[in-house]
Amino acid sequence: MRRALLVVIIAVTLSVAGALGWAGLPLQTDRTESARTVDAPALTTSGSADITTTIAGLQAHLRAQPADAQSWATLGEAYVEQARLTGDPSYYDKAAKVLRQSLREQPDDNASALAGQAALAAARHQFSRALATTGKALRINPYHPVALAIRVDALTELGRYHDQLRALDRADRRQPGLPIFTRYAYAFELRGDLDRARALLRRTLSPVSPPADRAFVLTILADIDRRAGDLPAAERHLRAALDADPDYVQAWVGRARLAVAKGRLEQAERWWLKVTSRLPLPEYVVELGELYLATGQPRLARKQFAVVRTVQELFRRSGVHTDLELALFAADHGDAAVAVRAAQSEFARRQSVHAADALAWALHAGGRSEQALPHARAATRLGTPEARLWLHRGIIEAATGHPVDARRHLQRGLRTDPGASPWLADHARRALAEIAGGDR
Amino acid sequence: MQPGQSTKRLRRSSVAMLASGSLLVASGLALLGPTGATASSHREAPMIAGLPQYDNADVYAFMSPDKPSKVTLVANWIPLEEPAGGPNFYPWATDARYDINIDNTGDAKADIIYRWRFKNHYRTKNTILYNTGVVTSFGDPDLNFRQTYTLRRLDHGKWKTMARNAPVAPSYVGDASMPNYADLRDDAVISAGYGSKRLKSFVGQAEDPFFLDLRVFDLLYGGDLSEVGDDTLAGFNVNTIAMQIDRKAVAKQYRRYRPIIGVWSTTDRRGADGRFRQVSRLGNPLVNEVVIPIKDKDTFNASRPVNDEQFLPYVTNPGLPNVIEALYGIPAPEPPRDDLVQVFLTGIPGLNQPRNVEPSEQLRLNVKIPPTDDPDRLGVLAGDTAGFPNGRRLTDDVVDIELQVLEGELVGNPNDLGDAVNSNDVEFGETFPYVALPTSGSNPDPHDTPSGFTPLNGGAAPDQPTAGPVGEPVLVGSVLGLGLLLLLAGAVAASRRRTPALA
Repeated sequence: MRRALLVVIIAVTLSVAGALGWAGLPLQTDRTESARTVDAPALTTSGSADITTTIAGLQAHLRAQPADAQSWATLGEAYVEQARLTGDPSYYDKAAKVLRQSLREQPDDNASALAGQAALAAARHQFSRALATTGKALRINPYHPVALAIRVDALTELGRYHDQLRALDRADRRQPGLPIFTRYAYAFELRGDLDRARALLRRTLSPVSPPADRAFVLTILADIDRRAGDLPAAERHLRAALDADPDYVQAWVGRARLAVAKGRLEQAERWWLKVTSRLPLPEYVVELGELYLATGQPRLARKQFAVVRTVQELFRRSGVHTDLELALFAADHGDAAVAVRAAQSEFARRQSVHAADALAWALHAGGRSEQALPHARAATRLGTPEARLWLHRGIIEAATGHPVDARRHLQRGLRTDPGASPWLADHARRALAEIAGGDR
Repeated sequence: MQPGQSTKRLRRSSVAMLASGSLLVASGLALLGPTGATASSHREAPMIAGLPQYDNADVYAFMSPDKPSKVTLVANWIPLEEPAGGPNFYPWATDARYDINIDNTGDAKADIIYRWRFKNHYRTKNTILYNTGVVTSFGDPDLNFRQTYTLRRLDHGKWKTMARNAPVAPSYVGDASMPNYADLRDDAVISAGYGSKRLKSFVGQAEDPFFLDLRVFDLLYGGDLSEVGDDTLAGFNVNTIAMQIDRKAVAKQYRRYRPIIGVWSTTDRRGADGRFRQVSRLGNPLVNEVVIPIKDKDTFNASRPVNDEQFLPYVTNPGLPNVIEALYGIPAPEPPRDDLVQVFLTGIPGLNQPRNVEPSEQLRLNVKIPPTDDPDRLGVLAGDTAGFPNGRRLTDDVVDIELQVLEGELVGNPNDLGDAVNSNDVEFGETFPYVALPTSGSNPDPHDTPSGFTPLNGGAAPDQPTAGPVGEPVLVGSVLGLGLLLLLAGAVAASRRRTPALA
């Protein structure tokens, strides 16, 4: 009981604290300057308070009460969240530091710190470590909501899909709620069951849900709509998401991809620019670069790809495993040998459909299409409705003399998501045309 | 925000700051969505606060002062509602079951369950506004968002509907929107059921009747505040469910054989599989804060009284008194603490212990003990057997009572410990539902800000160093806070270590 709304209130606190100046106790503002000043009414309506103010509140509290192990753990989780929101991976080191501090203050039975470490490991794409750490946290508190959720994520990313469902069932039995419902929806999506994913997400939405929750769920719904080809529904859901939270970056991503799906590439470019200026995650910058390639602006594309390399390096130095992303990027826009090395090392760590796809695509780029083929097939083993998996497979099948399969899978990929990278789609269309040419 | 813009915010914030250590943090942040590793699988995972809609606050059970043969049960949810909570304010969850459970045989199983389930209604979905004009009644077309409920009763394994489409008093949006909120509350007091099972039900917002100085929690880290004695929950609202029913409807054989009912509230939430599971539970006050260590709080919330044996060691050998002994030299009573077992698990023999009781954590009320015109805030400890731990009245000072009991009041260690907050900040009503009207959303200073109060000094006068207790209440408050927090946190190392730079 009584744990409600405190984040919200803390947020308010901190805006006040900031205003007071905290003589002698300057708040660290290096990363918080750009944060919006948050108004109290907005906060009280939101399920998730502005993370900046939450962090400042915890910092102030911990200055006064440095022995509070639980607050150190929460601060660690908040830094992980801050990294996600800002795209600044340097927060991961801060998270690691304060989580260690939490464990120093309370070495025993500190499930919160362990769950925070698991969340950090997952954010750094160290999924085996994340999984092991959730195990430790859950042995202390079998109902820990963060540990239950991160366990699902880790199993998913490790490609242990059967265990993923078992972990989901357990999490849903112990801590039902939006974090688990959205993970269920993703499990259904991975398996191609978009209808079930959509039904579950719809059920979680209520007009009185906090705006942040609404924006989050509506954006996922729009993503599913778009991949299912229902562009008007996607449009409707994105509008509602942006009504709930106009600054929700993932909804901008949705707008960009929807614009691509509608063939409005200039509009897409504007949205991608908006997204990447706020949140320059490598995968977003790559999509912008490929959009430039597809619209005949290779010089602009090269600039974006240079950004990708820089940001990836930044992530790597902050302890994030970027091999999977690096493999895909290098295979398409860089050095195939680098791609193969990265993909192999990632595949050694995990055998998810995405790791299999990256390995297949890197091998293909390195001229080893025959070796790539079984991995390309493995990447679609769940029937995942993601255009890239099918297009990669089709292209590899075309290159290895399987024109019938290739045509089927290329067509499937092109049908799957009209908002997917237009550069890759062009690539796929050329492959289709070549198959057709070969038939003649 | 400009300096000095709003004193109310200062106050509000300070509450959260202080509470953050123990409360926010206990629930931590939850990850809203899955983390993923690739562009296509990447799903952001925003963290969200706890889920207050499903959080049980306090439970009260008492013989009605104005109707001595009737039992009043009050259960609160969604604690710490800031009155200015627009535009959504504080709806009940529609994917939850809000239950009041009654064990009238002492076997640790619910014999009777009252269950409230809610529905949303909108005049128009074209606006997110709670109301579109001045609201004078529940049926007012200007009340855009309304909730109704169905109340059912489980008895002897059978569910019977007691009320349908019953009105929920809306959140108190503000004086301009709701110039006479008392009318809206009256609209929400209904008669339900039939025959001898007839009951009054009220569902709506209320000022949080719980009173304590939350700042005591901060002291467990060696915090050094020079002032307690301030009801830090003043001006915060809760969502309340209250019912009043003849005692024979809940304690059938009360006259000769079984006059004692055990009461606890639970929240069930619907999972992805469509089934409900219990996510929150509350009987005696502060059990999940004071008795159960943090690591087991979630387990406790999902547990049933019939399995409470797993928590027995926390009661027979509580950590708090040892902590207080270590820090303040007040000797801890010798374990095993059978006195605490009686208070929290079995009831006190001759007062509120059922025959052949199966120990379990419930708020136990003897319905044969009549209400008193002159209640003592310390209840049974002061010889007033109509109060806590024989049930719990709105006015019972449970923080002081529990602390004194933990420190051995019942086993030859008389003491006067407390948090120096002895009553609620607002008066309770004299008739059902007794809880105070909620604080208005337009109140510019809902928490009655004391002068000189800032988040930095936690209420101490700005220029005074906060060096040590300044009076008896402070000391005891400090003791409580320190103890509570340490207990909650488990073993906190006493020594200060170097801490990493913040940010």
